[in-house]
Amino acid sequence: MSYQRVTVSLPRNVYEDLLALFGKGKISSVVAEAVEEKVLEKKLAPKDPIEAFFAHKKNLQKLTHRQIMAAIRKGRM
Amino acid sequence: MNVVLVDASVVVTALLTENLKVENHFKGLLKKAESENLRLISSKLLNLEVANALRFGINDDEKCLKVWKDFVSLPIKTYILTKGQLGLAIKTSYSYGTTVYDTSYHILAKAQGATFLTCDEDYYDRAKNLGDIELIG
Repeated sequence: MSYQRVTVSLPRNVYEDLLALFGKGKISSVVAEAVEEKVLEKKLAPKDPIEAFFAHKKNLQKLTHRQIMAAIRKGRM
Repeated sequence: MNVVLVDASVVVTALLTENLKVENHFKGLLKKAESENLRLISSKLLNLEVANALRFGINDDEKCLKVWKDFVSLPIKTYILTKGQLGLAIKTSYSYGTTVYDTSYHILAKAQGATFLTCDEDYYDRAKNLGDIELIG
């Protein structure tokens, strides 16, 4: 596999966590793995997000208006 | 260009009820927004409220996460209210006997020149005199 060297900027806390959890020598492979996953997710994303959203309807239990408002507000207070 | 602001009640009613009127209306708005014939907007609060409603409206966590993933891909642009707008939401919520949560959508709609679309009949009844609000359900 060929590699391309790139410069990326990370939030300092993320960089420090990377160092602490994986060590300096592993940063590239951890970042590559995370990016690879994100890229694959994007490739597999539905072509029509609106139809994809409404397609879930057939698999979901139906609620009443009262139940919906309660679900939205649950835990607010 | 027309601007419409939706709250969580519209999104969740369109998804989790048999109410075809709301489903078709919301789907129509989404398609117009996708083709850039309409600005479909909301407050950042939308994400939190929809997430909470999905959490308590769908029993299965896997199903819930799949719905969430597709929800966040919908063409709805969300905004954070400014401190000034939140101040107005507080003041308005006292005047109309409403919550700051619900009123914040309405204030953002006013600020963005949008019509606030909601399925929340209770809020609508209390705050309809503020204008720029439409009840669907």
